[in-house]
Amino acid sequence: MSSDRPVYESIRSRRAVRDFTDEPVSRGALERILRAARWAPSAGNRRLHKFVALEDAQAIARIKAISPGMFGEPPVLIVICTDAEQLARENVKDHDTSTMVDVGTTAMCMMLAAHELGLGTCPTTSFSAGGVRGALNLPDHLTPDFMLQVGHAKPLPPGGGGGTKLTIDEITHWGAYPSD
Amino acid sequence: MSDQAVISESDALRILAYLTASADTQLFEPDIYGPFRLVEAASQLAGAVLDGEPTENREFWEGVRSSLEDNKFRVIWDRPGFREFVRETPREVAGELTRRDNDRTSA
Repeated sequence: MSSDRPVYESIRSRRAVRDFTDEPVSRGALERILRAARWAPSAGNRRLHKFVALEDAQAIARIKAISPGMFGEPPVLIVICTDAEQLARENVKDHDTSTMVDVGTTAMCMMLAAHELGLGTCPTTSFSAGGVRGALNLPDHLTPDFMLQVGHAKPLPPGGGGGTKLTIDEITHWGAYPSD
Repeated sequence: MSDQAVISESDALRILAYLTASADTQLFEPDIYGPFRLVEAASQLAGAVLDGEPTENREFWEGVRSSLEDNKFRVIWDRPGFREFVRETPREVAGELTRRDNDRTSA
């Protein structure tokens, strides 16, 4: 099936970027990425998130120090926080699986928006939530669930990138899961 | 054995932050990330020592830093190789301890 829509190509060509150049990200680009987050699927249209966008190198370095999953030095870092007050308003009893799905869909929209702008991103979940709370002075009702590193990607070394992709047959069972 | 102080207090704080954050994330991350984080912390420590421009034993610190950096990401693409690296590295470091103790004794 062919399409003149570039979405599939964007999905296919996006990579996790762990090495960034020093080139800054424009505020306009950053705002476009944040606007994309507003269009993400959200269960029940609950809109649970608050975002903290960091552009200051020293502030990002502080977060990196408490984030074992951060290896690069991105010029921008966006922290997706789930708002417990909004959870309460929506009668969501726990910060449960469905809320984490919302974090994921939001992050994916942001990564694709950045990719469209020629920016690289790296999803980051290996961080100390308590440490990030302290470093960002987050109120108790905000839980940092996800961090997105954003910047201009350094060229990959020869042979780098890609990675193994499973085939459809390896991951899909049509109709039902086969019995033994 | 050198008693030269080579790590700045700010570097020590950064490594402390990394180690305590790793202890936190390791409560829920895959077990194999534990050794990975410790290898990364060891590399940061060696890097901090080199940043302090040690006048003695620089070759050792450069070697161990290079080895840690070259091998740490094998946790992603060569897990058996990463395990072997983790098991072998302490022997090399212990050898350096022994060499220095012997040098001190014979001095």
